[in-house]
Amino acid sequence: MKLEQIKRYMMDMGQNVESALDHAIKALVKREIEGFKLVHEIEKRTNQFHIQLDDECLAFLAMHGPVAKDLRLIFSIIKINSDLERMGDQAVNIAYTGLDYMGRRPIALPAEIEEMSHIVQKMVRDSLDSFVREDLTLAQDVLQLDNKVDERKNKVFKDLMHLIRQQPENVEAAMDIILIARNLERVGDHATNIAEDVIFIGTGKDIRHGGSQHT
Amino acid sequence: MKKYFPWLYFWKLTGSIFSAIAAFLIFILFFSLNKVDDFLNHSSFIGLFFLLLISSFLVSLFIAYRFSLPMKKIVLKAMRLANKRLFFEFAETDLEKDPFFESENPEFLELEQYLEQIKSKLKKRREQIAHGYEESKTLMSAIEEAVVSVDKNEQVLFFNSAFASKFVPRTTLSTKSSESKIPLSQIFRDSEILNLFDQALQKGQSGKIQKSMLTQMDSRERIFSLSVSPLKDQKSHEVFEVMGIFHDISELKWAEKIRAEFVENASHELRTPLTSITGYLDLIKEEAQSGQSETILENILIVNKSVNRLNALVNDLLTLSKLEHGERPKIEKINPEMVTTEVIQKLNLYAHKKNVQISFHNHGVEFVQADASKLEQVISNLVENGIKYNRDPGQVEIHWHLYGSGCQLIVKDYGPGIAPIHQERLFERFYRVDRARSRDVGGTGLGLAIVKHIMNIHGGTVSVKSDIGLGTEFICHFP
Repeated sequence: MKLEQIKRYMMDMGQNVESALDHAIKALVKREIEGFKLVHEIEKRTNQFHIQLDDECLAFLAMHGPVAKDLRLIFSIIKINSDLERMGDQAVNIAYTGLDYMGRRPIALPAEIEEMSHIVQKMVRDSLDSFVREDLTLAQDVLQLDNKVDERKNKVFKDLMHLIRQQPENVEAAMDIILIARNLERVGDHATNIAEDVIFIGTGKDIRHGGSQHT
Repeated sequence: MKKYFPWLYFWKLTGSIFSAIAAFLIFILFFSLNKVDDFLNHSSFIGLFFLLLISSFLVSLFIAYRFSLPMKKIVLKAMRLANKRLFFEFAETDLEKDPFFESENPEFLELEQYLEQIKSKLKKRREQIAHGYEESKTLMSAIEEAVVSVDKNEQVLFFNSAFASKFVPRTTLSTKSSESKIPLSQIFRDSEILNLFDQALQKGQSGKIQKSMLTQMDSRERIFSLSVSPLKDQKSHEVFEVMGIFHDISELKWAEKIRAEFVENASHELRTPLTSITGYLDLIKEEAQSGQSETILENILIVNKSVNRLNALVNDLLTLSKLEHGERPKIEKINPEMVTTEVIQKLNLYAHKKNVQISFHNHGVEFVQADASKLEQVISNLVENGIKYNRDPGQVEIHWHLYGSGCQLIVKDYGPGIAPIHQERLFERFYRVDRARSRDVGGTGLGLAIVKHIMNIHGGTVSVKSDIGLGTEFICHFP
């Protein structure tokens, strides 16, 4: 496989993960159990993509011995690949927890969860877009969005803690929502990692963990 | 540029060689062979010999120059056809100043004329192509469909303004220089779309898909019908370019959905009272047979209520269908005060029952250009809604304002208000904010749709402003 094909393959995987996430979130918000089953189907494909893509990257490294930007690119694709795979897993987690949540005594889904899911989906989309377009400003925007997700997650945690104290009988449903918020936040973190990789490919600068250790 | 055989130098050289040989032959003819030795000893003869040699050399040089000049002229003309810049570089030499340059040679003249013809034909063709290009450019920028074409390597060759505004991110547009091409995979990363282009390029197949996509304009998802067709070379049948056309069919899909919903809603709304009518009629029959007369009247009243409801529904549907089929309003100058007071009088009883106060303020509107019966329906529908969705005790305010060259009718209630997500769909037929409660409150679900249609045929608009918990304001603008 050529580098261009590997990139294309990775995009296919990205699309796959995006659709898993989309189904999981839609099923949760609209309370449709069917969507959760789809997520499991998609996860199987994501796992195949993950293994195949790793193999291709390894073969490319061994046979072509890339240097400079190409080397950074292939290195980043390997990392993005595992980030995407983890995102897929988080989507599955959301589906599992969502299914549990729907079986329990209903409590309202906080508005922050829906907001969070919109932001997180935008982050995933933009991080992949910034990768194909090598658009560093878009990648920077993704990093900024992560704060918004964290704010909402904290709000959900706080509100639900309060709810648990008030109505201890709803503790399971509240815990489910907390878990979902945490899963969404993790997806956002993986998207941030991808954006950081995009910046690394473009500039060669490692900006992870504030970028202080490696400059 | 290819180097051609240097004819000029060739003629110069051959000319001089020939003249040398000629001189030598003359020399042999004039003097017999045995006098050669004497001759060679005479210096004056040698001088004569060299004089002859030089003069013949000069003559040949002149002939060669005359011969090559017209050729040069034609080369120059051809050069001008082929490459303007090169021609001007060449013409800077003093060639054209030469007096012999303009003198004509018949064969060359003919050649020159043909070249001239080719030149004028080429010019015409070039103009045609330029016009064609201009035409297609204007066409492309005028159409709403997004059009993109890619070359064999899936690099974008061309896109129109609709495509740029929908799919090309601003950062890509600003960094793109005229020479560098954007790969298609940088614009789309959807594998279905890319595969469609791949197939067109490799197998020469055209294809069509429907795809829901986000555009660069806003973050609303739109549905596009994408058709991809390969452009093939006429002789070799090889694909040299692929064109993709994106047609936005979201409106179409939306209309389809609304239509399906309407049929569903209309049949549902019609069936509900019918079910209760048949149910209660059965009950009444049983009661009449068994002689239980005490509840019959009560049940007949329920049937009556359902029949009224059915009647209202059918009337509203008929009104709506008349309005939709372009019934012309009889526009005249109407006193808004008169119409409004009439409506208030009619609805006073209902308002009283609901414990709602109706107040009316006219802020200097003397007349309004409208159809009297339709205006009455607009006010009555809005005020009725205001009474229906209100507090207990509540208040409905009717205001007439002068606005621009026309006027405005504002009907304001202090009810529960309408959430923003419902506001844009409020004027659809059978749309209910709270489906569960609609049955208790009554109404056909067509009132606001009728208001909107009436305002449309008057050339006016209706809009809604609402805050949850604070109330709702309907604003009708008459031109």
